[in-house]
Amino acid sequence: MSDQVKRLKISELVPGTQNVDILVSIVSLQRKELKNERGESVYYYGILGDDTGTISFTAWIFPPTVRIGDVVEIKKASVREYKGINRVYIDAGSEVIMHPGESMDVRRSYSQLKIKDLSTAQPYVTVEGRVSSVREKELERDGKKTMMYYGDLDDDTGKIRISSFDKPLKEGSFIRMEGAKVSEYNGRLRMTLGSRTEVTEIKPSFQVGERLYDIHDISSPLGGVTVNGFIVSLGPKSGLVMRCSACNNRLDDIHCPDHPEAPVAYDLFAYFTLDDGTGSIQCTGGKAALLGHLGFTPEEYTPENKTISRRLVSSRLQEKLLGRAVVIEGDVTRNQSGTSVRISSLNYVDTDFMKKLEARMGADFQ
Amino acid sequence: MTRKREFTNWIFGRELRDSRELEERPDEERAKPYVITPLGTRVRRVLFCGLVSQKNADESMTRVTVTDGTGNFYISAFNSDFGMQAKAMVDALEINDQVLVMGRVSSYQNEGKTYFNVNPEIAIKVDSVSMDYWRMKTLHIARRKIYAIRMARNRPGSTATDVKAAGYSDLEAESAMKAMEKYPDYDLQEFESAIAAQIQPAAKEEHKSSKDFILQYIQANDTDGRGCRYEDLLAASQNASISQNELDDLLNSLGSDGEIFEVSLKRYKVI
Repeated sequence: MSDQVKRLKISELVPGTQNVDILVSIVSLQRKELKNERGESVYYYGILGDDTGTISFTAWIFPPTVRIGDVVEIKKASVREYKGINRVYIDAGSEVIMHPGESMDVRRSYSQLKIKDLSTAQPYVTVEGRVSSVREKELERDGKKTMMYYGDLDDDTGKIRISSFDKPLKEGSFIRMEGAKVSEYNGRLRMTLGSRTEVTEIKPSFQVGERLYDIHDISSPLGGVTVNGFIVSLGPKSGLVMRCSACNNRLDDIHCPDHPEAPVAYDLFAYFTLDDGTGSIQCTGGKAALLGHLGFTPEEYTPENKTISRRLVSSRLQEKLLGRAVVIEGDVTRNQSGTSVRISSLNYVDTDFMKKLEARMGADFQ
Repeated sequence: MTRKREFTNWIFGRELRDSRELEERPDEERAKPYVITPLGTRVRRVLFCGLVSQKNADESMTRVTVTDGTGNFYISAFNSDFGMQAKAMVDALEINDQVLVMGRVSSYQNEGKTYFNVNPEIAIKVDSVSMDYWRMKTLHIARRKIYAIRMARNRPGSTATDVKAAGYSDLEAESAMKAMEKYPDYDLQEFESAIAAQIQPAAKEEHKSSKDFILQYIQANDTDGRGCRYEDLLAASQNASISQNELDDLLNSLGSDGEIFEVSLKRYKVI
């Protein structure tokens, strides 16, 4: 290993390079606190840029006064690959020298990724997909009215929520977004089209269809996944839920404290563990996905129907879910207690699904 | 901190039956050892489907045998504070029911042999589609492990990293390494044929006749040396679309031909 310091451009950085010296602009910067058995520590991560491109970085030592847009010289950094992404590492042996008053043009370069590979570790990317479920909202920003468009973007690997300020989204169109930003909100990933994002309509090179995953392969909060397996446990608090018809809040009593006159509405909530032999995942589902399987129509499932009781709903859930082989569709979310799937539909495994599964599994041995 | 859920292994009865190795868990107090199977699977919790071939029940305990066509799972449910619900589930099962069972494996040794028992967490009747689904997926899981082991065997000195680089998961790579260490001479070809014969219609057709199937099953399932049990044979035959009447006729015919003999009541051996 050579101790000689090398001044390089970002486009010249390759994994394994040590003692790198780079002059860069800070494109994005995040601070993260870490608590573990060894105590508390802080690290920084983000994106560095110069006139040849951009690269992610992680810094264990970093001047707290550095801001986005600042130009800094980083000495004795190293470059390694982490999760398939090249990254500059700045540690105790490195030096970060600020160049106040300087500015630098950054050549934006974005990796093109599939939706399943998106993560906040690589916040600016290029993605292609089909736009659907477009809605719009008028917002006021700094006293100025602006339109926000939001919807879903699907490719052959997953689905993600997208939002766009001022740039309209066209329902059903296939688009390529260069420089869209990935972030995580409420345990789900989403993408935002900013002023620098370039959007072009494309002819798709992929098909949007069922995205069948092994549970083992689900590691990020990915939308629109299909998984299958046996339901091996059903949460004891699954069952009939009462809600206030005025505020939709969950009720412990038969009257809402805020709307005592409002009628009660029946809802349904179930949580269970799905196991497919490669792993298990927690799933949650509500009335839309599950009521039909319990043998009730929405019209029957009301407080006026005296044949419906908590006990009956619990026993139907046991009978119709526990130990059953099912195919579920839904969105993966991530929170403090782990990864789970919020299901949008549930179907029992049937012979048609088995044929599809057999073809997919057979491909492993060809 | 949330405790990580114990992994559930979907495995065939044959894989558990052929297991000889245990791995102690010194880091966890009073924890029962893992079973290491010939495919390197580290087993504590299992999930399987099969036919109930035997049942004995009393107030304190219910024992059930479930056969998946490749081997048997022996299930014991106790009337303890923690096991009442599971016992009620097992009590509701009848002979010839198709069932799904998930439970924890415990082992015991007798006269130098290792036996396995499953303490059920759930035991539920299922339909034929669920049985086929489990068989298909379990075969796929087993095959991937077999291929990973073969790859490691064919390239001496392979590490788990090499196996992973070939497209296998962390777990499959670790299993392959365990299998190499604990069962270096295990006959993977024979195992794969045995499980495939029970699962795939095409493989079933490879048996020249139902007679061959019965002979092969008796030979492979004389597990305690006292002959293959009729109940197991019946369950396996039904899985292979051979009715009970056909089975009885075939046993009579094989007996007359001198190919098998009934060692004791409802126990058969190949001559």
